[in-house]
Amino acid sequence: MAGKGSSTLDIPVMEYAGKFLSERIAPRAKATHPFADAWDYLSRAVWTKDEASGQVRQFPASVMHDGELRFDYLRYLTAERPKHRVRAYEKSRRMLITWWLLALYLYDIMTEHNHLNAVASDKLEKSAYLLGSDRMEFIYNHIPETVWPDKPVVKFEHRAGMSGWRTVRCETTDSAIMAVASGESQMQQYTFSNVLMDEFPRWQWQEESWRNIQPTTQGGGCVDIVCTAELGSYAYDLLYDRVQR
Amino acid sequence: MIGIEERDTQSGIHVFRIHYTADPMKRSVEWQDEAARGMVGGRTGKAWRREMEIDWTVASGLPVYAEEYVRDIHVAKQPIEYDPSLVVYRGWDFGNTPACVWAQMDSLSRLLFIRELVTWDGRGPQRSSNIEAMMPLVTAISSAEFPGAHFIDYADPAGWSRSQTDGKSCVDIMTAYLSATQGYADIRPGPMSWSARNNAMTRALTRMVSGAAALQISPTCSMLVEGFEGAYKFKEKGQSGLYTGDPEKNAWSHPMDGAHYVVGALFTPHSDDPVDDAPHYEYYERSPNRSGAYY
Repeated sequence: MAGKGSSTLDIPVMEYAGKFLSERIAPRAKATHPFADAWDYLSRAVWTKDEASGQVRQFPASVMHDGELRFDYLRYLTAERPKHRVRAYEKSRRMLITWWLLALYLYDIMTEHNHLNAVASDKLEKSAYLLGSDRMEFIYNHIPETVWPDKPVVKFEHRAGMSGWRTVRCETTDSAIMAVASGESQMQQYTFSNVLMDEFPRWQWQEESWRNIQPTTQGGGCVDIVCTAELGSYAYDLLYDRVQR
Repeated sequence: MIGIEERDTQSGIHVFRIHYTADPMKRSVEWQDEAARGMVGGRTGKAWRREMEIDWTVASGLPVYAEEYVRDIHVAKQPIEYDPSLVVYRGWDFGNTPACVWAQMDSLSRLLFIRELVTWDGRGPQRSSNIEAMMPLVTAISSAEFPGAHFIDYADPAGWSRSQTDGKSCVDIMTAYLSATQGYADIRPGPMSWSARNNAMTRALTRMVSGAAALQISPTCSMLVEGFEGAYKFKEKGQSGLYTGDPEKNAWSHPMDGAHYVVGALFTPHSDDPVDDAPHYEYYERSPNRSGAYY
């Protein structure tokens, strides 16, 4: 910030502009946080809940098995993901992919300014559930004070279902996440920064939804498509270049 | 990295394939046996293949022919060619998304499905059609791909019901169109009951003739292949994991029904022609641990 007593009159215009940009504008591009990178955030700040047992556990970044890191593949994916704009994850069950992406989407709105992200499922209730108290809200509420003492204020708004939310808004960054359903015109109306399409092969309106996110992909936005194998799905055609049939 | 594969699609999607072996704990046979507990067929079953091995040729739900159908023996390695010396059977299903299949019985009494036509392939929103719109397509395919053939048509018995608006039945429309285009119409009803058709299909799928399956599907019939693979499945009661004994109506059920009418007619012994329309109230319970075979 410019010092209180400083005068702009004796600073050349360009120098002033440069100072203004570096001091006022640039910090808005990246909100301050105590993490070296996204993996550091996942490793230290994220806690998850085991769906079967209900047990609360730290994101298993350092869990070992026979001398190997069990979830090293998530570290690898965290590093590789930003290198591509449209990503699909065809996966075996229980690989923690949805938890991992939800944590990253939360991180995105807490650290990036003016991002509008979407979390999409087949039905709105399912999308809202992913933002709700058993998933994203859970992650936010369990970020330890000691790890991120002044974490940005995130508001979960517009309840949908028992534990779901339609909107997640970070006041510090003016970024937000919307819960949307498959085929909804919302996906076409907005150009999102990031779209998470969870369990895409099981959606009823896959082809229509894929068309609806084209404004996002053409506008420079990113897409994460989570897939469990499903015979005869449009996702299968899309991922295996069979869309011409 | 073990368990991770990557590729790029033509549409610009970067695909990460994340196999369970990416997690070193899941590489042991002991873990896999434990994880497969409760799945029908264990580690060789379709549920394991779909959910764990990321096998896109296996459908979710409870496939109708999970036990009887084996891709390696029921799907021909090459497209099946039409034999002009043999009768061509067409199987018809009506409704809003009608379908038609073409088949021939070869000299060894093997039924060969050669061609299919669907008005909705299950990708994207359902498209409505009707028999009047499909007839020109069927006759065009029949004359172009089956020149000189003699056709016998097996159709949904419901097709004999007359419409309350114009008094015409689907079969009336078919008869008029086929008589005008091919000079005759030989349309016969397929078996009335689902159980009779299902029994016939089971019989056809499990019968071997001279070392080959009595029912063969050309690989070009992708909807039939997907249907047998499991897209033709039992109807679930809500999202309970319980299934009724009736198949789900979906994009694959229409060509499968068409195939059933042909198979039902050709693989039903006369003594086994029951009129049994009583609905089945058998339920199949899914695994309680949610990692079970079907959901």
